Amino acid sequence: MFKNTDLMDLRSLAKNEVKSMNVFCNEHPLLSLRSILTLNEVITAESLDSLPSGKRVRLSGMLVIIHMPSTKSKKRVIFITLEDETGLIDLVVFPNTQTHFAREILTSEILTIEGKLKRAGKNGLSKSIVVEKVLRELSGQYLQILEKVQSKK
Amino acid sequence: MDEFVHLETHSAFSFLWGTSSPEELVNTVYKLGQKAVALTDFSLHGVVRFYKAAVELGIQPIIGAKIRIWDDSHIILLARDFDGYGNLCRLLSIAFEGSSAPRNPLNKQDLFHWAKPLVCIVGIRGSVIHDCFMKGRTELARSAVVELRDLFADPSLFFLAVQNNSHLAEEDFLERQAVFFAADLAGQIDIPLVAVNSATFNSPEDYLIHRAFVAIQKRHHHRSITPLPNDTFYLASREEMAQKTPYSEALDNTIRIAELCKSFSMPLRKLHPPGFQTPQSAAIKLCEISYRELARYQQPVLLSYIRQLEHELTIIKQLKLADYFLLVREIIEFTEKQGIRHSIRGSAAGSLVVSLLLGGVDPIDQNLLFERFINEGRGDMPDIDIDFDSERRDEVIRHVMEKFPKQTAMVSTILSFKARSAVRLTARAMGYPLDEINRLVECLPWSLRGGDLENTLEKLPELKNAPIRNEPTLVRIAAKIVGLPHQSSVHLGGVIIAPKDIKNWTPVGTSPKGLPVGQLDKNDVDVLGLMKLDLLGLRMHTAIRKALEALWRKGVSLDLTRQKLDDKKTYALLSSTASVGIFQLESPGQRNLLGRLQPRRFSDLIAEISLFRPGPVEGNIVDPYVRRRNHQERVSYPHKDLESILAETYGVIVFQEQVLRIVHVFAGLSYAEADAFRRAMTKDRKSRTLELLKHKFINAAHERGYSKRIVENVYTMVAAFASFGFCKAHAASFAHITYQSAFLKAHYPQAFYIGLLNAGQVGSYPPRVLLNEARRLGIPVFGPDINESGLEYKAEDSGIRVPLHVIRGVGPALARRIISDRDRRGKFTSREDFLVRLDPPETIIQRMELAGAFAGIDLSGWSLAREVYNV
Repeated sequence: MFKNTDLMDLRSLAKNEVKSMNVFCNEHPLLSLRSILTLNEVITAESLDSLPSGKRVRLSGMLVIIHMPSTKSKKRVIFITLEDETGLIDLVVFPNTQTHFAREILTSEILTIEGKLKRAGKNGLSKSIVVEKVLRELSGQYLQILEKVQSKK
Repeated sequence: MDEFVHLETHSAFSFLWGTSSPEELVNTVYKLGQKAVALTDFSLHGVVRFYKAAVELGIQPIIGAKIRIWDDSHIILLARDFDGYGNLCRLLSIAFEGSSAPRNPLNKQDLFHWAKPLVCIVGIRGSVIHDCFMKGRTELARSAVVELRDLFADPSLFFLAVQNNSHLAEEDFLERQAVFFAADLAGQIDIPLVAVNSATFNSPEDYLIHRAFVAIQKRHHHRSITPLPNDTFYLASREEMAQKTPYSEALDNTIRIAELCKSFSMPLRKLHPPGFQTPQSAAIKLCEISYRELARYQQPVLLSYIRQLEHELTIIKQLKLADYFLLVREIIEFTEKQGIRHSIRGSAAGSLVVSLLLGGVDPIDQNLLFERFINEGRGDMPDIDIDFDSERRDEVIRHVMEKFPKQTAMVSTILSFKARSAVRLTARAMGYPLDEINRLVECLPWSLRGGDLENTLEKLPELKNAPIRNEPTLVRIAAKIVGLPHQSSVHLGGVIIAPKDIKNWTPVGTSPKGLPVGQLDKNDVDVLGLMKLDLLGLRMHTAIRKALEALWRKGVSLDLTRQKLDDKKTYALLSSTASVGIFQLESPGQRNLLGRLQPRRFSDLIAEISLFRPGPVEGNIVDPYVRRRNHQERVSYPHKDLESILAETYGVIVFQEQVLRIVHVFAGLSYAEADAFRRAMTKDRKSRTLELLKHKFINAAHERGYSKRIVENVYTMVAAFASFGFCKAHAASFAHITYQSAFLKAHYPQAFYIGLLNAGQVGSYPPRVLLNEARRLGIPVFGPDINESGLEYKAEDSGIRVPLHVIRGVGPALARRIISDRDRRGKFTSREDFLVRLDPPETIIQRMELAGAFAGIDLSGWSLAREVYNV
């Protein structure tokens, strides 16, 4: 039933859920932004499976976990997990990228990034993205991004 | 040397009043050249730290407290010896009864009965006596002093305080008058005078912090309180005190009181087991039970098990620990009777006695090591940490409390200011509006790791143009209070069991749950050598229990404890890295490692849990292990004698047990020495102990015929990895729970998610992520519905129905009301019917509509509702 709803319905459903609940019962809110994300060459977590290690990619997702473990070098490395409508995306942010984008990384609800895919293990099952930059116009609070996208239209 | 002793001081354990830690206080006293100092907070929370710090600097610690009495005055009581300390604890327990704060004033009977052998100082600032002196009402002061003195059996331990904290000329007269009246009265009724300064901060500069603290109390806690009037309440020298109080006798008496308290000593670093029965009878009982359980576990019993059991029982008997094992056994029997899920964690799982008496993995089968848990060289109480279903843990705690009513109390926890809370509360104290405060703390780390607040603001890129950088005063004050204690709380699962009366060791108050709570934190308990049971709550136990209940409702009865640990589907799921929600293996790092490691058997889970830890990651153990495991690197050993120890981890040291075995097998040292070596490696690599152990290791290995090169190679390897290794017994215990949760996810995903979602925040992922994953796996997620949703997530056909409380603003209370009304009067027939029956606030209704909570209403009932309620 839901698959046939048009983009407007999708967006208003997602908007209502974000405004009223802590969970999403219909679809992941990122699905409502997918058309604009695709226009900006942002791919999904699922599509990483078919890409080789080293490939530069753009991804977007809702922030799930931020972790800053202590390191031997005492330099801060930020590990982030995002989630889009197809799955989880693990990011690594090294200090040089933090210099330019730390604020966006730590304050956004939706984060859209560009970086290099790193695959390891059997069939490259272990995937992470080394973040090179944050796409500011597609990062921030979900409702604000949605409003921005809708007003542009 | 400075001939003065401060007998009235506050550390920061006088929460939001005193401004220094006990260590800083002692350090200032040391710098002043004073030989003793008393700590007189409103509780005894800081005394163990104070005592240790003072002894280390060669200063005599005097333990005391400032206690409120019937007329709202405070008096100072100082312990002369450890019996006096016990009575001080009893008096404070009266003050703290029914609360976590000293709410009850002491009455005359309390003082008459317990104030011995204690030194008492009356007439301090803020007391009725001092007020009378300030107002020149000397007769009233006299009767109050005499009334108090008559309660003390030994008048030579009773002193009258003089203090002069004048700052401005106009205050000077009253303060000096008070000093004069006190001295005059002391002479008349023959009571010795003693000079005090109510030292609340170390130096006058810290007065600012004191005022900030009081402002926090007023604005944040809404308490009616006034700060000290000026900056003179600091740790002054004798010379400074003499200028304020021109009575040398009063100054000299501070030394006299210190002498009176000289015999006080705290029995640190000695074991104080509870001693329920004689060690002999306990050992016999433990032996009987252990052999009986072994015969039940294994038929026929293997010789290796008998040998191991005999070995462990001998050491337990030697160390007089049988009693402790029997106590824990009794607790486990209770939990089993009540059907409460539990598991042993930590090094205790390496013991066969523990395995037989309390459950857990088979230590012989898993190649664990008893000596990592207990050996003859350990001077502290061994910990048997137990995890319980977190929703039922309190039942276990209450059972222990009821079993040993006079001997037990909860361990306390001290909450300290973290960077963010320090800024937030200081800003609030300074009167910043709430939205401004939110702006100021944005991007500020919750706590600081190695560095102060000011440095952090400079260093972190996200704070480059942050508004907080334009607030130097706020930052300066907040920076000073970071790390200071501001509140006591209750440790969630730590229970102290003291020998005889717990009040010999600590005052006992009452937790919000009504449990007795002491004033010792977990470090204090360890230092005092008291027995502490860690009755921990593990939400994964709750999640598994709730998943099994969900299955049971569907007619599936599953006993996970009897499962074999070789299910292919479970390992395939883990190897796919889809481990969200699985115990210990769900973090991004663990998911990544699963992809590389491709676990195939239970021992792989033990390794996986052990490898992704700060130690092994920092020690660069992970990559060599994975490469060798995947045949990308040759497995090698520094010597063939180590092959049997390191073969299970491909020649890499992963487990602490391996360090102990190498030291024992290669150098021939005892396990006690090997464990001392491991601990020295972990805690203090520069220590003299480590240096001595190194020589011992090298010499002993030489004597056994190993070449110099080999010995040095092995030593270098052990030294490099000793501090990074992980306790295998602990990993094995956890791996068992990991397997159970993975099995549920692999075979019964719907029940798995329901269990997790209903157990509170179990792991790293919020409910929305778990639900999104469930939906991606084809499990439908049904939204909140006023007629279908319950208080918890529940199975509905093949999907999951979310509860009403996922809607913002619908708390458990409203959700309960809705459901109970529905159960009582039937389903809601319309939005209006719902409104009439429940009448929730309009904002909640709006959110419920947005969330689709009314979408499932059967519209056929609408006309009936209109008729009945006329809407």
